[in-house]
Amino acid sequence: MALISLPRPLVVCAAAACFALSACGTAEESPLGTVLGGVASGFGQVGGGSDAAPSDPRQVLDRATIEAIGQPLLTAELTALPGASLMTRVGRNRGVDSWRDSAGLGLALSDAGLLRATRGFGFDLMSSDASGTAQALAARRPAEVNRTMVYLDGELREAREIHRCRLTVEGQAGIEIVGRNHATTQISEVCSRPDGDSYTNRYWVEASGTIRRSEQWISDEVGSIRLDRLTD
Amino acid sequence: MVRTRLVVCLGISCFAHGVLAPAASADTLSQMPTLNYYGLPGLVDMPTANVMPDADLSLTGSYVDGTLRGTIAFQVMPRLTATFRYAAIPEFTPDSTPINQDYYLDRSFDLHWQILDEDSWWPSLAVGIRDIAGTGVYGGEYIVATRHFGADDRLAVTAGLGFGRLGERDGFANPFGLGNRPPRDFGLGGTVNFDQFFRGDAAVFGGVEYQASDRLRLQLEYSTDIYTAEAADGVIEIESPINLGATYDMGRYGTIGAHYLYGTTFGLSYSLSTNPRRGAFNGTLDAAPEPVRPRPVSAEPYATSWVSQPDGAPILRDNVERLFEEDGGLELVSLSLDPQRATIRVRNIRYGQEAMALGRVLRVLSVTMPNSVEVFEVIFIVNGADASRVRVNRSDVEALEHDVNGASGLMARADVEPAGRVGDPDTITIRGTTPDRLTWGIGPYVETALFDPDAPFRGDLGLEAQARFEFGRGFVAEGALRVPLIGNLSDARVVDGVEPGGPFPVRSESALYYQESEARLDRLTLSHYGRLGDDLYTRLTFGYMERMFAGASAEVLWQRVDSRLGLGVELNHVWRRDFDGGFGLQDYSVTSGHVSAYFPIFGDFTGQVDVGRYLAGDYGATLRVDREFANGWRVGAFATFTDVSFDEFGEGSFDKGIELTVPLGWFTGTSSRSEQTTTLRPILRDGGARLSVEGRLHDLIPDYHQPALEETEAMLWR
Repeated sequence: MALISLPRPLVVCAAAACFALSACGTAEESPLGTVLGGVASGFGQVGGGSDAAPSDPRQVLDRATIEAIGQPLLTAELTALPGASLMTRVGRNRGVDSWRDSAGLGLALSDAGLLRATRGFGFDLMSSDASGTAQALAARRPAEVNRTMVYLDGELREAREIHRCRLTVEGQAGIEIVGRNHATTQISEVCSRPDGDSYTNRYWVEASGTIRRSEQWISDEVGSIRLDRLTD
Repeated sequence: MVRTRLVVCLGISCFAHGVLAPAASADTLSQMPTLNYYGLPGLVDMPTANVMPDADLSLTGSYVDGTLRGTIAFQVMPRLTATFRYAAIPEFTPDSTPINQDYYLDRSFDLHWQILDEDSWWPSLAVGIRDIAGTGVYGGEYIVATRHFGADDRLAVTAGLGFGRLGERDGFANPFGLGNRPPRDFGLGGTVNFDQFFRGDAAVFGGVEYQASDRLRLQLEYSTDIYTAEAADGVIEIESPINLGATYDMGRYGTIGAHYLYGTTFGLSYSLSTNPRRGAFNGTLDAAPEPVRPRPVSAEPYATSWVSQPDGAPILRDNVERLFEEDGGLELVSLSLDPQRATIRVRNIRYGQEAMALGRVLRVLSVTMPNSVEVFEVIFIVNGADASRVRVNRSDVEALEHDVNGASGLMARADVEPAGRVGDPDTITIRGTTPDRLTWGIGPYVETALFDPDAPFRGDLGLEAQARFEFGRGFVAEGALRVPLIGNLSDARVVDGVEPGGPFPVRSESALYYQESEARLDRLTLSHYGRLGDDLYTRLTFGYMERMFAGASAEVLWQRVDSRLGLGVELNHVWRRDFDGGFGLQDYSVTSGHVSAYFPIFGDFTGQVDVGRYLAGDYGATLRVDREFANGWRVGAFATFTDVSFDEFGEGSFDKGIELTVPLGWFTGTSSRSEQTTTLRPILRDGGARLSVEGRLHDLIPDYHQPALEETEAMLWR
């Protein structure tokens, strides 16, 4: 059985509640977090020296382990590559959560689970505004919306794109994630880019508005990322 | 030609690239022109009116009948192409004096300017001058038109009017009435051959090019170059004006070509193009940064009782240092706080994009600073000196972390000011645990001399031990020792003695330094960096600054934090060092110095003018123009004119060259402040020689000023 190393959880330094200064510590130190070790990032490696097969944390995790870890967890996999990576939440700011895996790859997701930004993928989504999509997903209604996606160009300057997207409700879908069943509404979103190419995002949204599972597009070079939220 | 990104696979970095990069689509004849035997847009020997994509940088090598040409071409602006060429022609004696070498070596410089774009029915039109300032062996000018036809511009037809070398076959009287072309002056080279341009007989050349498949192109041309001088020396035989060729695009591995030339011979070409705007990644593979920690919303003012906590200062320092260590690119120099304001002095040891370093410091401050601190001030330390003070409101950091306009929004709200304009908060002050910085290393070094008049390439490989210590307030001690192991730099030509009336051999005897030393002290200096006022920065350097000179150097730079305009004064007094690379000095000493102006020209272009006295005691000025890209690439050219006459200067007439700077991160996709600078100088001589000193102020201080931070702001939240 492959072992999993957890990325570090939220760091808390200056005490928010108390009045005294204290040393930095992780918010929710988990005994298991230090026990599990081994596999770095689960993303497949091409041309690298690693002989470790791409791993999928869902194959070595069970519900009891997830409960014992006691931290928010999700799995992320690039649709173009085998393997998946385990991410924990390392920050929360104004309705956007920062997630990170043990290799330092990072995602920013709205608290519902909509992708806002990526870090460390080489061709990152630097920031985005998909508030129209967020509203349609929360209401689980079809819609036509625009989203703004901010990238970098080769000179490392900002490159902005407006994508035109159409959301369609595909129907009810029951999904299972690591031994737990979820009732969701499946919604797909077809977006066209300024150069005429298009891509499709897929969301499995619960009644609470939480995006339990999704497949969301990052950039031309990286492609899409598939996310499974393992915890509530 | 299929154009792809340079692919560098380093372990995991491949994942985003090797597999996921989309299949590159082929470019049409008009999007990426074929590069000819001269490395310029063209057919085989003849030019076309095309241009490369803006900022493209190409290397072309060609071979025909023993003649080798290597060309670097840069698309300086969308319409202007410039090249530097080094050619080796076997057993060639253009000036009728036999030479004792197997090859005649020639350096030349061309300009190609597209006057008109191709329009619905109008062809593109370009003029060009080959060998503007060289010996004139390749001297020729042209006016050329190219028109593309068919779907995807599969067919291109070119016709042009050639002069000089390009006007020799069936030439007719000069159509502009510019009269005869004076004989070529095979003097010293280096002077612009104005009296020749577009003069003398002209001839009509032309050709067609066909895109046979995505990768294969076919060329047919009618050449008006009859290689008069080369044919006379038996270098090449010319029997027909027709040249035929085929080029095949191998994608990221470049383009190869095979040609049948002049009815008598075959030739080969190879070209490779890159572009500063297409690095390994549009971004970096660096680990995700520390998330911002927003403060809890509170109706009450945040508590400030922490200021009296006895162990507060070391706790804050340790927290900052812990997160900096995790980050790996930042070092704490000092931290000062009062209940509302925190000022941090930081050394950026990793991030080539300065705004990225700033963003990461702000993130760490948001996590570590007590809630009552609303104002963050970041002072980046460069060689021990404060570069600027960047003031940001903590609430803006919290509000803009995930904002779609967060990068430009935060830079717009930030104040960048001279570091000394306001005092630091003084309730709590603590130094970092390692405020001084020692770095050292022993490793291989490579030193090259490219394209000197006798050999296209000379180089040494050896071992270098170097150390650098930043300490106290603004002191830097550094040194390097080199032991060459193998190489041929010592074979370089030495000018015997001092020519009467000519400049002292401050550089032309450089070979003696290689010949007469085993191990040598490359540098050993003590410097101090500081400030005289808000916008005045100073440097003092003592010691062995470079291989050939030692002494003292003082510099003052006036540079406002909000402007690219800078003015500097440098004064040096140096002695010539002994050839053996030890501590000894020779009799020759000189006081040199410059007044320098640094200024933006337009767009990416910046200029520099230095006026003053050079190492040989000559007076004059250096002009320099650079194209600077936001990602750290620089491509520039410089020329120096002094009161050393062209005759006294000797071959090349005056000092000039091309300089190319490539940031390491562009190749690897991970952040780094390292960069590689290569200077191509046709010949290094004694007129217009400048002292080489490490750490000139203008190379360091403006990095953390407002223009540079704004230029890199897209990386602020990276």
